[in-house]
Amino acid sequence: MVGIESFGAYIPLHRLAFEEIGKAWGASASAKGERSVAAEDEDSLTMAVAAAQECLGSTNRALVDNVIFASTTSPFLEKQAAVTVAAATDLRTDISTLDCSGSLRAGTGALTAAANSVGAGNSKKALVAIADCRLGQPGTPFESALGDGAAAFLLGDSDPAIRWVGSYSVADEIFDYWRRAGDSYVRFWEERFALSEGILRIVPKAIEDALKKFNHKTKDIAAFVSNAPNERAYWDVARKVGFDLTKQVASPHYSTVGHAGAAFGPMQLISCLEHGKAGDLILFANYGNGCDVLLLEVLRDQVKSGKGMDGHLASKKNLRSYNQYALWRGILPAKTDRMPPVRPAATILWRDQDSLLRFQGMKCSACGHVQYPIHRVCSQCSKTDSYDKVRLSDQTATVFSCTVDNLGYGSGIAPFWAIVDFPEVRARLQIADAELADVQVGDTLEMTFRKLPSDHDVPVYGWKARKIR
Amino acid sequence: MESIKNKVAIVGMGCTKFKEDFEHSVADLLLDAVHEALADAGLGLADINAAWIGTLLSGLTGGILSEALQWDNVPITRVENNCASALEALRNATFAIAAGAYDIVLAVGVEKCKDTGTGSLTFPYGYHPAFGYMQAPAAYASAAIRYFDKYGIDVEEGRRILAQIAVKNHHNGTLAPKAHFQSEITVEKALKAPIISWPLGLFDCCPTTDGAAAAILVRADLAKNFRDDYVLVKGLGLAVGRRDVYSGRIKERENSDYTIWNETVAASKRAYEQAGIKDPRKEISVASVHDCFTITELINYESLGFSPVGGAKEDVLSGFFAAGGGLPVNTDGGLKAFGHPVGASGLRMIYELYKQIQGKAGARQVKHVDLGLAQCQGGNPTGGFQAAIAIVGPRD
Repeated sequence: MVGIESFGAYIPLHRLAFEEIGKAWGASASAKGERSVAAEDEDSLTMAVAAAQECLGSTNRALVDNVIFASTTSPFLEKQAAVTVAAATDLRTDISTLDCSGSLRAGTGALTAAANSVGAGNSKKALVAIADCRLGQPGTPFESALGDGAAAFLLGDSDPAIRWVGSYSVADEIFDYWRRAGDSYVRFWEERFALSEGILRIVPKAIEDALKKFNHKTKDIAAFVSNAPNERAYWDVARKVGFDLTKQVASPHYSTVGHAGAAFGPMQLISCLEHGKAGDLILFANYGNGCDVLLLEVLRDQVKSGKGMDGHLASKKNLRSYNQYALWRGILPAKTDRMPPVRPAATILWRDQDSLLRFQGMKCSACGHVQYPIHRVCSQCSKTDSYDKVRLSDQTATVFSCTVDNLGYGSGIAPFWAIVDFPEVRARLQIADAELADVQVGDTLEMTFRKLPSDHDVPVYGWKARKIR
Repeated sequence: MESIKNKVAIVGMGCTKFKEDFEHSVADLLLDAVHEALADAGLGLADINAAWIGTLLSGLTGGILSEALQWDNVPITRVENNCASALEALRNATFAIAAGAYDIVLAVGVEKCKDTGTGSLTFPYGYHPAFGYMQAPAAYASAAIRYFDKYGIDVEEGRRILAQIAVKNHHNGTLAPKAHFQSEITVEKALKAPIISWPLGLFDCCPTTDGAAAAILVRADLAKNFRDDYVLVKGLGLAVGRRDVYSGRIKERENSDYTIWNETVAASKRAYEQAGIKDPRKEISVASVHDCFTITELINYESLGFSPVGGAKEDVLSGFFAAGGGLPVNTDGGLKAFGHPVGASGLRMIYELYKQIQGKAGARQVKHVDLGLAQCQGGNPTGGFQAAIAIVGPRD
């Protein structure tokens, strides 16, 4: 039986209150609520890795045969992000990888492809990591409406927690919301057209046809999840389909996370699964130049995977100002004089990828001493070229010493450095998502995949540590 | 192994005015330092058999010196060992004379820090793109936090102890006309200054400075032909740890807790053996030690054996290292007040010791100077140091 074996969610720590956005633009009043904001060292790729790490948990990673990264905001037009997700999560290299993009239903397309791959026996397990980090034009309502986040799913056929019942898709040509190559901000046509001839026309019909295909009625559905450009349209879709809004429709995260693009629907789905009961049928309609409709059956009560949506929603820190968001998202220019002066060598990033991306240290096969990063020589017994690799990304570490270097190299922010002790090895890492006062010597940290400073055309990714969320 | 003691003499030295020297080039600085040293020794460029130039960032090859001096076809070697580069020039020059390869050589150090457009050191090459970028302030701050923690010193109390080192070095700088800074500071001013990397504030950090220093070295038995008050090399030490900026590997917990400078301990042990020093606290008359940060100097007191391990605090509070104290340290202001042109600093230290031994240190003259110690350490506490020691003393 094909299904979802585990899932993971990711919401960045930082939130920006609608009130702060309003203040920045001189609004006299703002709606209540907030949106999530990826930190300056986060992007769709790092958030996808965060969700994937949570999704994989203690799963035997050697069984994953397929990785799909889905996003409309991949940091790359040319350079696959799925391979980086696979490396950062320390998966095998004899796997198939794919990036899905171009539409907010990139994620459901990826899930369908993954389910088909497992169903056809081409993959034992398939990992789908969906993330987005879109920008609304500054000063427009879109700026508050959008949020950042990620969701990941592991599909497989060994004892899944959620059964993949089936999928149904329709394609629809329309310019309602779009970004041309090179556009920073989401473009859109008049909302009355975009809603009435877009989502409100396409989704109810797609659901009707999908239910026919699945041989179900709306009353069979325990929870309905969808993806609409705003909360009003979200409820309008459900109403138009004929769902009981109080009982059958999952409560959306528009004023807590914001519309996280391709990850929005999948994140709603995870919320729904976290609260599901065995036997629940969940219908997920994902809109974007057409619609993907997925039908899932929950096989176990309240499936959990790490912090999940609930945990991530509860763990948050509000930005003090709109400017911080604007700096982080590149709307304001970063202070380039605090950037590393040298173009990062792609050769070194490539050579050292086991230590850098897979976060592997080495354990000497002679004396058992652990070192990070990997070195050919054991520092304690001098045994050379004889070691096993040890993954540190899913270990915690305690702070031995730490400080913020106010003049240090960082992408417009002061780097927070720490010397940390893993159970077997000491390492030097930067601390993410924290100010100096947040962290004390002796604190326990968990690992998080982030962008490292680079003011050049070669991006650098690697691991940082952060306080346990 | 033979000791280097008493085999090589310094007969001339020069040092430029250290400052943010926007109007002078690397060549200008070299020219001025070398001409002063030659004049001091009563020699001309034609008398020099060979030269070593230490610099970290101010140019590659020995050609930077030959170009500055318009000096062709001489054996000039550029040496580099980070902040120890100048002592490395001195060390290699000393060994060449001791080996009998040359009679009269030149050792020079130079750095032009202010052509980079930033207020801190900017390294153009070599760093690991992902692991290499913890810079010196954060690394030394991490060590300060460990030091305070280990010895039960409250951070505010610790900052006050460090501030006293800055106050001392600023005071000493006011007595050294060639020092970068000529101003007194107070503990309160130091404590109120902006934080660079907690717990280190602005006055815990040395400045970035332009400057050059030069020494003329000769075979000891020839030294009296040049001057009576020549200074003898008594001992040299060098210890190099792992250069972590290339790899990201740091000192392992099996080897260090960052509260003692291992490489400086090792280098000083070698230098003390050569110089026949048993108790450096008593036998060293004056010292110029690396104080890129105040915590560097504090831990150096212990690493060099001037204070017992964990006991530097008491010596700071008693003024043991101040002018007139039991062992005056950084009598010219040190890196903190004299400035830190990276590749020049070691020879600037030797310049101060040379003047002190000759009794020519003016207002900052230490009484009864016998042995002087210079110590530089490049690198950073969490990774590896390049630590160099030179001990010099008067003719017997």
